Amino acid sequence: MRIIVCAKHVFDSTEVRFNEDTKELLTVNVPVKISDYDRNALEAAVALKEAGDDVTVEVIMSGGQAALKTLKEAVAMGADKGYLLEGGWETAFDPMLSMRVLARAIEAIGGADLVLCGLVSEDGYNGLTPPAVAELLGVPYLAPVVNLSADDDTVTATMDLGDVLQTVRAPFPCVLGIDSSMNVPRLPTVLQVMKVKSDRVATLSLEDLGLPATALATEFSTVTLDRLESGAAPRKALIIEGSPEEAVPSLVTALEREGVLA
Amino acid sequence: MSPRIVVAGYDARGTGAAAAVAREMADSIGGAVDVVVLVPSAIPGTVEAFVEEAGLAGRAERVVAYELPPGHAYSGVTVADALVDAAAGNDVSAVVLADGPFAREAAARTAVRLDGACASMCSTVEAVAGNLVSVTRPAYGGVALAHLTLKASPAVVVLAPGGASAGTATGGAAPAVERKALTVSEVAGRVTVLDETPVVKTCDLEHAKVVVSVGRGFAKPADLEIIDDLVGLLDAEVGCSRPIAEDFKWLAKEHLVGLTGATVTPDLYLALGISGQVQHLAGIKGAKIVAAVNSDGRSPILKNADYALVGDLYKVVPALTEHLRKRKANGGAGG
Amino acid sequence: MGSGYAREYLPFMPGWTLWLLYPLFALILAALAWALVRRYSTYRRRAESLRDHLRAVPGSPRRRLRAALADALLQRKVLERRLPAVFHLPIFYGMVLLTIGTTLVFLDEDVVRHLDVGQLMSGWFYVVWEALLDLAGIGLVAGVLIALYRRLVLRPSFLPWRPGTVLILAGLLYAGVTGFLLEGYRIAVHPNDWAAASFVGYAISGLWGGAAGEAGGAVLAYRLLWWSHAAAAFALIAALGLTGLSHILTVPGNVFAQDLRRPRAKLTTPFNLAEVLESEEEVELISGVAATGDLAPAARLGADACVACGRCHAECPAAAAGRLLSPRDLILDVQESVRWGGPVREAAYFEAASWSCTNCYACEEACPARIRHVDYVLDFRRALVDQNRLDEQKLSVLEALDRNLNPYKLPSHERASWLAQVPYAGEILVGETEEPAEWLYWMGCSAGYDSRVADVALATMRLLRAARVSFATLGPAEPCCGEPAKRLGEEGRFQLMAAVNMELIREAGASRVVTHCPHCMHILAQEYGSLGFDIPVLHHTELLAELVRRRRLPVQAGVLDLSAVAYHEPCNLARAGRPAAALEVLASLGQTPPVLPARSGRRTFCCGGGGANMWYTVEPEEQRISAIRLEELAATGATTVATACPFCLPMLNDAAGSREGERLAVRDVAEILAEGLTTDGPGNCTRNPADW
Repeated sequence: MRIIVCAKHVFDSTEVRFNEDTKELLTVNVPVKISDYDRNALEAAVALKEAGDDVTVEVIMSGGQAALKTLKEAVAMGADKGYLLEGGWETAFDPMLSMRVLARAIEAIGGADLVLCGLVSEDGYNGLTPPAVAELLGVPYLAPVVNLSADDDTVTATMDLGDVLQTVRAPFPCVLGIDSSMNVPRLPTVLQVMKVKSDRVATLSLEDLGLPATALATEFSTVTLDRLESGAAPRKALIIEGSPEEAVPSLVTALEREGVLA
Repeated sequence: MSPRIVVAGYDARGTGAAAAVAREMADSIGGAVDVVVLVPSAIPGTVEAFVEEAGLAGRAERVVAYELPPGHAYSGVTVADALVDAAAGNDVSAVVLADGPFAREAAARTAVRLDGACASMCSTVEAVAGNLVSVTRPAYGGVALAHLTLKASPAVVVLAPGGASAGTATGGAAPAVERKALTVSEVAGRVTVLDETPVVKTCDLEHAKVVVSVGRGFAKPADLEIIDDLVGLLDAEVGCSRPIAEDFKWLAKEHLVGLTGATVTPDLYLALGISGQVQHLAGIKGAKIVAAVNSDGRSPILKNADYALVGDLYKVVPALTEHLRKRKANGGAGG
Repeated sequence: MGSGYAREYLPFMPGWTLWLLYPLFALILAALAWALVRRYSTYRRRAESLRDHLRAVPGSPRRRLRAALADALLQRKVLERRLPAVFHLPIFYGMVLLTIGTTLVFLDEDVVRHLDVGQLMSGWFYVVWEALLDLAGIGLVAGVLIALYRRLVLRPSFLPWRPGTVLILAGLLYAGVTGFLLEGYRIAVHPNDWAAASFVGYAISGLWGGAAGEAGGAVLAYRLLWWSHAAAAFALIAALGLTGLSHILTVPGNVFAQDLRRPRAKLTTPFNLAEVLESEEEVELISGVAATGDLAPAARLGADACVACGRCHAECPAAAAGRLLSPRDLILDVQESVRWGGPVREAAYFEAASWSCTNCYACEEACPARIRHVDYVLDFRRALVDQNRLDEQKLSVLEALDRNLNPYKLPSHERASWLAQVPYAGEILVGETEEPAEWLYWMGCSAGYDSRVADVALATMRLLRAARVSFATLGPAEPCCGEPAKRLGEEGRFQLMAAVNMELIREAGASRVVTHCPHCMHILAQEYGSLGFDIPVLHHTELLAELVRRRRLPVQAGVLDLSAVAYHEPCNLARAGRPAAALEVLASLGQTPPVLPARSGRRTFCCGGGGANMWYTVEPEEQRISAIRLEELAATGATTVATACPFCLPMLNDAAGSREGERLAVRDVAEILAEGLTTDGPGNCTRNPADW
């Protein structure tokens, strides 16, 4: 069985801030990492590898040369090989663009029986790229996967559809969106990352994929980012005064105004 | 040919909300709204009842009810098949989907097939000049709000979970209902459903819309009873601070919110008798609104809540429960 | 008198006795040698032998030997507990004397005699020696009886049931008692002028009375008794190589094999990442102990030295809290697998035990064999990390160190946000002052994110300013020192953090570092120290004590009523070799010294926050460690608990909140001292740090 995991190199979402003056995201000195959900996908892939015979796990990582260490971290989780995608085109908001690059990359390295992706990415949180890849490859998409097993030519997955857990079976090939509740991803130690040799890491250039950077910036681009505004207001810290009889109705009114009371 | 907005949703509520958004878009560009419905699996009753329940009168011009062939269910592929079919031959400027099971898969597949653009978690959607659609959606987990223009057409948008704010149904002409057999893509047939298990969750803090959380302000375990009605009225999950779960063991650890417990992202986090130690605050950063009741006017939770009531929770909780009960009896927001 | 006194050699025994005894003795010695060689051969990890280790241990062998002998001959660690001192001392010295005595007799008769140079065992020396040996025998018998009474009747809970130990005690008792019986028989049959010197034998000779004689059944009984005495002695010699009696050799051996200059708070450093990265060669890096085979020679010797005295178990906070950890059992499990091969107990136990440890060093302090239990725990943890067997709580701490540079999992840009409200912030931030300050005040993550600990930092800064100490702080730019990574066993991550931080501190340009966090202090001083960092690091209480001594602080001395203040000694101060500064500071303020709980000083009891326990929950657990400690502190009658560690502070504060009755206040020594300030330093526009 051949598994490909698509992983995104992102800024840490807990450290990124919005700069009110420049109306930009502040990413200076912000740590970079594997997008959280993609680590769940990697863990799921490595678990399949550990459970089965003759399973290979390969990782495709976006982010260009800056993501080399991130890719090594991903490989250190237990993958056999990592592919670094040439950078410059990355987007948090254009899943149709990401889909095109990833689908080509998957084909370029020979295709896979299973493509595992994080359900969403840490920066964009779209949840659209993996099913779009599935559509372009013409294969089923199963998500959000909370349980997973595979035999020689089929995959059995349980999906959490909110009010029901649906277990399905599908033949290879297949794209899966892994839910974060499926597992606790292992954290490779610094030594384990150090031990990832360069021969386990290859680079995929956009030219090789037949997707020159100029084309990605023009004909394949489907979304423009017009502007950003601050997403979070600090807590209001409003003290509601008075006896319970007076204060409770004020509180309820305030909560209604916020739209948080059903 | 007037531009059309095509709408789909998992259930009546979502479909109605998506149709409301689509209506506004259609009105601004002089277009019409088509709603796609899959029968029989997605709709318990008749299509007419669904149209009624979703409040589509005045919101949609046309409802296309696609008959699923035997052996096929509601899925990302079948919804995409329906949307693509409904779009065929029309000048579709946007496809609007309510978020829910399969919504994002359906959106992505539709966008790929129609060669459009796609966005999810959209809190606002607007049709702008030149068949473009602009949306706002979060970036980096809500650190910023991004204003995007979807320049490829059609724009396939998935509304934010819980739906973009849908105006109340205005009434108006009932949509024309059209029935069609759905031609299902081959790929849908590759997936076999083996089992379906309804989910019974005893405690699901992570996905809760409302969390009522208790702390050391409660004197003894029996006192926790006073929140029972409140929790029921708010349809909330119960959380707690570390002492309640670990020192006193009044509640199981699955209720623990904070650094060593669950991280929650509800619309409303109601902290009762919780002082607000930093370890606890770390777990509630993602809450939209934090309201707190605490008898200690200096406790850190007050600075870290949106609304705080300084008072005896043994008096405040019953008063709040009673007030919410009356409000509900009077029919929600009006109370 | 005088020259007539001489020892009678092998009375009543046939002439061939020696012809049997010596070959048997040689056999026993051979058995002992075989057992010792076999045991030594277990002190080996793959190609690495104990000798390799001994060659590499820093510190002069002579000093280590002196330390080993001092421990053994002066029984230093034994004396720390009253009852063991009462029985172990006479057994030890008794056996030493009796062994020397017996050896001397044989030397005298079978070597010296043939050299024709006279005899050792004669004259006054012999008489005094006889008396001394009888005294030794009495000590031995009495000591063994007390030990047996303790083991069989008193049975303290921390003492495990060890049949081997009881057998050895029985053997010692038998050898002692039969020795006296034989001596008595000899005196009864061959009385002489000096017999009374062997006062026990002399008394017993009366008991034999007419039963003893030169011939017949009596002599046969004597001979049987004699041979059984010899057999018991031989069995004990053989036991030296095969049983726990070997502690006579392994305990001093363990002391000798240690780097005695390594402070208690210095954890092991399995590799140096910077050196590994620079090295051209491929280095196989060992991460902890996953199986018996991974145990280093010194760790094997250490575990082998354990006598199962149970002191560590009695002192262990994790054991007291009902967690799945007994440092005693942990070491004994390792000992068993070292001695007899086979895996250490099931992995799940080791996992639970490893994470239950708070690294408080109470076990190490108690251990008479000077075993360093925390080293074992840390090595087990390292292996668990290497096998990716951390649960989500611990993983998320390590991730937070990467992502947020603190274990609170809060954004790095929210760190020490309260500093913005401090009026003199501009004067104390590194990079904003014109010249580098003399001291760098390292605040630690707790001051950055826990508002209660921020108060401690404010009080400390107020004191430093009042004393006109030149200091600066990194403030919001300060990262975590890396302690959680180190203690969780992720050495590589720790060393990466250390490398960045050492550079950061050096760039700040201060000549010394002060911190109110004992954990940060040891990490900077000891761990960074072993990686090449050489700026001295002091605890704030040490600096404050110095300022008090030099009267640099405008505080009113001797006015505070400390009778209601109990001092909780942090494990990482007194037990880690940095004692008393906090007490000195407190004492300077008070009319009386503060009250101390039952366990204080080097024997203080943990708050439960150490060993990265602050960042995860431990199960199962019957009682919280902090609650146990708070009860002890409350039992002093105090209303305020003073302490000097930002881990102890919130742990005990939490426990205070959960406790019934009037709530105890928990405060840092700096806060109490700052309250006594009569004037503030320049720019301190407010008296009360809480107002900021």
